[in-house]
Amino acid sequence: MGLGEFSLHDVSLTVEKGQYLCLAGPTGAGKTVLLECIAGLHRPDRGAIRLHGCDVTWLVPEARGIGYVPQDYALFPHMTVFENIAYGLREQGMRKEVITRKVRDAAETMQIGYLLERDVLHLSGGERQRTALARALVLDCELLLLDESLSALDVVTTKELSLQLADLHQQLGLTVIHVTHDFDEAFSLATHIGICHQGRLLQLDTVEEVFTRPTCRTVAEFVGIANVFPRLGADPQTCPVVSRLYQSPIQELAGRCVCIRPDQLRFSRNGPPAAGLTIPGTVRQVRWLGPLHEVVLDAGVSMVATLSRQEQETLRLRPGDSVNINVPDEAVHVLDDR
Amino acid sequence: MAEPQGAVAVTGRMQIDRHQVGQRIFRLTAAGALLFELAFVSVVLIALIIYVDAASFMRSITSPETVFSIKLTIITVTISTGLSMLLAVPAAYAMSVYRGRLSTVIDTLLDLPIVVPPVAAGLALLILFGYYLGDAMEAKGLFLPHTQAGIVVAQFFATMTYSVRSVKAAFDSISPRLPAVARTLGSNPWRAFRRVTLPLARNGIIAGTVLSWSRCLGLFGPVIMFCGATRFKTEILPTSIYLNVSVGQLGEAVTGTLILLIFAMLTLFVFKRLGAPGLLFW
Repeated sequence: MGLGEFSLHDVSLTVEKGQYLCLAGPTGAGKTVLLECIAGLHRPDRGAIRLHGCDVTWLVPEARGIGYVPQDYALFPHMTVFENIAYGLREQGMRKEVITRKVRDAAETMQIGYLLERDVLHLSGGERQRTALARALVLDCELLLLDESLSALDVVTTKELSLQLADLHQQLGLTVIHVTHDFDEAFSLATHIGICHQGRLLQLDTVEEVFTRPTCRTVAEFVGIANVFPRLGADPQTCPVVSRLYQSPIQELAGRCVCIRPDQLRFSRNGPPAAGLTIPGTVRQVRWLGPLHEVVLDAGVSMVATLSRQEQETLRLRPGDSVNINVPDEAVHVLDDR
Repeated sequence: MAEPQGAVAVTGRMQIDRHQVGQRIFRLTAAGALLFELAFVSVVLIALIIYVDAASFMRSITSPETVFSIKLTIITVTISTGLSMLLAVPAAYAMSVYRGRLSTVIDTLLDLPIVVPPVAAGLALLILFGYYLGDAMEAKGLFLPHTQAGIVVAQFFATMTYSVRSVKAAFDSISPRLPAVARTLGSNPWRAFRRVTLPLARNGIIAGTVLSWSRCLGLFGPVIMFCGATRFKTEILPTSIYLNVSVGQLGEAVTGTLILLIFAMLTLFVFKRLGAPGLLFW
């Protein structure tokens, strides 16, 4: 479908009941448009959207019964928290006492029972997020669409809400499609991940599969694989180290690229380790990233490795140190260069 | 005391007088211009107020002619404002939502009544409803030129742009996500408009109503061109002032002016209390 100058191209995905799918990708990848298509806010030019096997492509949003929480939460500013949560129930024509009970239950579930009479303009980011979630969940929808719902919150609130979202997903058996540009967020919540880029869905698989076996360079970069060496076929002389690593005739790599997982590289200072390919290198930088250390290396090409705190305490790598870099076979992946 | 060390060091006291002098001159110039404008408006108003004494003001305001013009003014202005707002709300919503190739053309066309000279607007109305449609409408018993109904049409034509502009600004300020979310919560487009968009545009709509009302109140050019100035027939307050000045009854003219001023001040007060952005001091 096209939206202004933006288009979604041939996106096909199936989400099973009870799955928590995170659609991840950089800003402008088309994640939100895809979500809004599912919610019924845009109509695709071609293709179909099915819910439980029923074609809902031309169904208006109010008839789809899908819970939707947009990025800015879109709370109605002229209503209180109670009125916001009750909005959908009132549209269903429920009796007042039923509405009150359901709203109170939803508010308690989201731990905002004490906020019900509050004006939404005076809520914190986390409270607004919880209100928006309660407003969607109170309608007992089976599918919940979350658009960057945690991106505007501070780290502590994000962590708290992530846990709560994971609990809700398990307790209510919800099917969730959650759009995010934060891979860590996707990793901590999702059962499955879809990686979007420039209006295309590049890979859709379980979290583990996407993380360990990315299908293309963009996915690899998005999941944090720093050592990606593209377009080998174009100029083999520029990457002799990588051709050694892969140990394949360089022509076979045309149109593809090699990537090496930074967390699977191993180091030794004296002599090569027992197995795998070993190349010499020099440490250029060591950066402390909390629980991990990132080591930037010069091995003919620039490479990045990550070490655990214990590994770094043993090796004590410093800029300028000469090391032997051991690359196990499972650390090397050949991917589509796209 | 030891000098602080480091690439950047900030100590407690700094000399910034040179910058402050420039800033002070800038502020004084701006404040001077504001004071001049306030003084000018005040002097003009005071000159009007002291021209008539209380006794002649009371006599003029209770005269049958003034009472007639006040009544006719309030009735016509209220009807034209009501009609104008009734159309302005859907029209402004359409303009706010529609983003297409014709947006600029529609915008320009709608702004025409603002830039067309008032007398020319009245003449255009006279030609349309007098020359072209006059006979046909008279046959149906609805002849507009030189009638009180015509006053409403002239006021409506001159004020509709203001109404649409005010309401459109209110609609533009509402995030399109709000009605979109209302749709996902079960509202059809009408319900989403009534329960979400309309209440959020409420202040803009009320401000637009007040602005249109005050604009109609002082409208003179199109009315006198389209409806003439006949005593006890098409005599609204602005035409009453014109008629009284033309026969040398300055006291009555000033009384009419003061009444218009009181109305205008009241509407401005309401308008500002309702919070038109950029016009508020409180």
